[in-house]
Amino acid sequence: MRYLESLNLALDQIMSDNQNAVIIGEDIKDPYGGAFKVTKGLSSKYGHRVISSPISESSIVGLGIGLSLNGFKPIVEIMFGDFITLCADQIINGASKFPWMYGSNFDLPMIIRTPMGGRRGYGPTHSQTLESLFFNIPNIKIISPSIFHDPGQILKDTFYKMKELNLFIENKISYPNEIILKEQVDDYNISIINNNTEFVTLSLVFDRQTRPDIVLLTYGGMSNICFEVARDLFIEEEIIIEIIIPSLVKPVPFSDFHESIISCGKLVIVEEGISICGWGSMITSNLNDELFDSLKAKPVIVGSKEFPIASSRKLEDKILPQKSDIKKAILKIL
Amino acid sequence: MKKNKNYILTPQLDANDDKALVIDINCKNYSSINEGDIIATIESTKATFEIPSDYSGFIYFLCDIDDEVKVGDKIALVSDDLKVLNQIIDDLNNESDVEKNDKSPKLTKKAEAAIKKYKIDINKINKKGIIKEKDILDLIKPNDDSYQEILTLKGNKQLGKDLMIASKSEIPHSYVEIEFNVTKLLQVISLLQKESANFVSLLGIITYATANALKTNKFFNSYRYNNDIFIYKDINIGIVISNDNDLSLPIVRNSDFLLPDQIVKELFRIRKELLKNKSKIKDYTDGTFTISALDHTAIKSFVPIIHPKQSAVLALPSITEKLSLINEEVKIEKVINLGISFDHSFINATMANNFLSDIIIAIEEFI
Repeated sequence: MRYLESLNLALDQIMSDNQNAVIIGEDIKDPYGGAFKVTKGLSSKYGHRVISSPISESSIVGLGIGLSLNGFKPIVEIMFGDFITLCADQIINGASKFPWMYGSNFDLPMIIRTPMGGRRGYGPTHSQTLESLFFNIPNIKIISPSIFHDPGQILKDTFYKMKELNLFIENKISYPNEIILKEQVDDYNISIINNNTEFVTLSLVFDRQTRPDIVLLTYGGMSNICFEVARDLFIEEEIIIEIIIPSLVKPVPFSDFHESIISCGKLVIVEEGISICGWGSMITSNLNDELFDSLKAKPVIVGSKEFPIASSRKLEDKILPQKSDIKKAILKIL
Repeated sequence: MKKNKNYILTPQLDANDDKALVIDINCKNYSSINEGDIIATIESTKATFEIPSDYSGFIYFLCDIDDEVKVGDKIALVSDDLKVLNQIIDDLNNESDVEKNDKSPKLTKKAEAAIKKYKIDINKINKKGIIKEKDILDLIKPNDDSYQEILTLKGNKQLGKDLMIASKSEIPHSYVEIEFNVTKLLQVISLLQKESANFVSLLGIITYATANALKTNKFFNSYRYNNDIFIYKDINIGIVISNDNDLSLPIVRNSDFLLPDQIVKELFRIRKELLKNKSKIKDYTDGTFTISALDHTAIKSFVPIIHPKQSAVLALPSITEKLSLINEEVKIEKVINLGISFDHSFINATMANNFLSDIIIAIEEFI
C-alpha cells in the first residue's frame, strides 16, 4: 500500500466512524480531491463534513479551532506546509493557549495535516520544512511518519487519543511510495523500540548481533534517504548503521533512542529542515545534559543549507541534504 | 481503434515542465479499457493531471507508480488484440531476461575483494542475504576439528603483531654482527657488584655505551618517512624484555645523560611500577632506538625487527664461551655476537660496523 493510500483509507475510516469528524481544506472535494489526492473520494461519501474552503489558511485553522471548542474533531489540510506561516497566529496565540487561558482546563482536539519538504523543484515557497517554527511552542504535538511506519494507523491513533493540537507532517516525496510494513527489507531488520505508545519509533539495523558503528537518527522524508545511505555504506565499507526513526517529532521521544546512543556512542542526526535551531539542535542539547559521558564523538547534524530552496533541481540538490552529505558526516566521526 | 498497437504518451503538461511523476495507476495490466477512461495520474510542478486513454482495448503499463516520465515517454500500450499485446510484452520481457536471471548473491565490496584474493568459487557460498567479508573468511578458515584450540591475538599482542608486520613491509631490513670479547667486562661487572652499592649489569653498560655511540651516529637515532629522514633530538632507548608469555618495552628516556647504574635503576623502577599496575604512559612511549635483550637465553645470534618510527635495533644475544690462543696459552674467552638490524634504505653495512665499533669503544672506555 502506498503512503497516500494509507492516509486516504485512514481518513475514510475516521469519517465513517465519527460523526463529529470534519475535514476542512482548499480544493479537497471531489473530483479534484486535494492537491495531493489525500482526500479523494471523501466528499462523495461524507458530503457536508468535507468542507472546501476559500484560500485563507488563517481562517481555515480558525474555523477548525472553533469547531473543536464546540465538540467537533476537525482535521484541517493546509495544501503546502509553507503556508503554515499564514496560520501562525491561530496556532501559537490561539490553539496552543486557549486550553490554559480561561481558568479551567479543557481539550482542543484538532489535527492540522500538511505536506512539507522539497526534491520536486517546487521552488522557495512550496518546498520548505517548517515544522521547526513550532518546536518551542508548548501544547503542540508534531508527528511525521516515514514510509517505514503505517501513516494511516498513526493518523488514526492521533485522532482517537488527541486532546490538543497535532501538526501532522507528510513529506511530499513519500506520497507515491509504498509503505514498508515488513520486519525485514533488503536484509535490514525493522523493529519497534517503544511498544507502549501510539507514536511508534522504529529501529532499522543490518545485523542485531553486531553492535552498530554509528546511530543515524532521522524522521519523515529523510528516512528512506538515510536507509539508502546505510545500505550503501554497508556494501561499500561494511559499516553497520542503526537507523532510528521516531514518528513523534515533538516532544522528542528521547528515551526511545538513549539506549542505542549509550551502546554505540556515535550519532549523526539528519533532518530536511535547516539545521540551525532545528530538530538536531534540540537533540544534541538533550544529549549534552543527559548522555555527555556516553558520547565517543561529537554528534553531527546534517540538514539543509541556510538558503531559500531553489526551483532549479540542480541548485535544490545543493541546498537540501543529500546522500553524499550524510555519508560524509558518518565517515567524519567514525 | 485505429491499429493493433497503440502507445499512450506523456503529454506536454504546461510550458515549464518536461517531466512528471506517475502518482497513480487506475487500471490493472491486461484489463479492458474504453477511449476516454482515466488510466493514470501524473504530477508536475504543483499540479496533478489525469491521463485519459485515446484508445479502447487491453492495456499494459510501461511505467510504474513513482516513476519519473518525460514528455513523450510511453506510459502504456493498448491493443484490441490480446495475442498481439502478449507478443509485444514477451519481446519486451526477453530484452530484460539477462538482468532478471541474475541470481548471483549480493556481496559487500570487502567480500568481493576477499573472493578475488582467496580465489573462492562464488557458487559455494551458501548464505542468504548480503554476504560480508567475514562470511568469506569463515569459508577459508581451517577445519576447527584439526586443532586442540584456536587462540586470538588481543590487546598488546595484537598491537605487537600489527607493528611488526608494518615494520617488515615498510622498512628494508639488513643485518650485521660483530664478535665482542666480554671477558674483561664481566670481570669488571663482578667486581663492581661486590664493591659498589650501585648495581651494574651487562645490559646497563651496553645501554650506556649504545647511548654514547648514538650521539655520534645520528642516523641510528632517526627514522625515514618516504624520502625524508627525521633525526631525533633526544636519545630514548627502549629495551625489549621478553619472557615465556609476554613482552615489554620500557623506555629509558634521555639515556645519554645516565650512567650504567642509573639506567639499571630506571629499569627496576619501571618494572616495579608495572608489577603494581601503576605503569606510566611516558615509560613506554617515544622510544628512538631499541635494544632487544636475549642475554638471559641460550640464543647465540638473532635478527631483531626494527620498531616503527626507528631506523635500527641492537641485538643482544647470550654470552658464549670460546677457546683462544693467547701468548701460546689456550684460554676460555667469553664473547657476545653483538648484532644490528638497520634500515638499509639509508644506512649501509659500513655505517653499521662503525656504530657497533663505537659501542665497543664506549664500553672499553667505561671499564
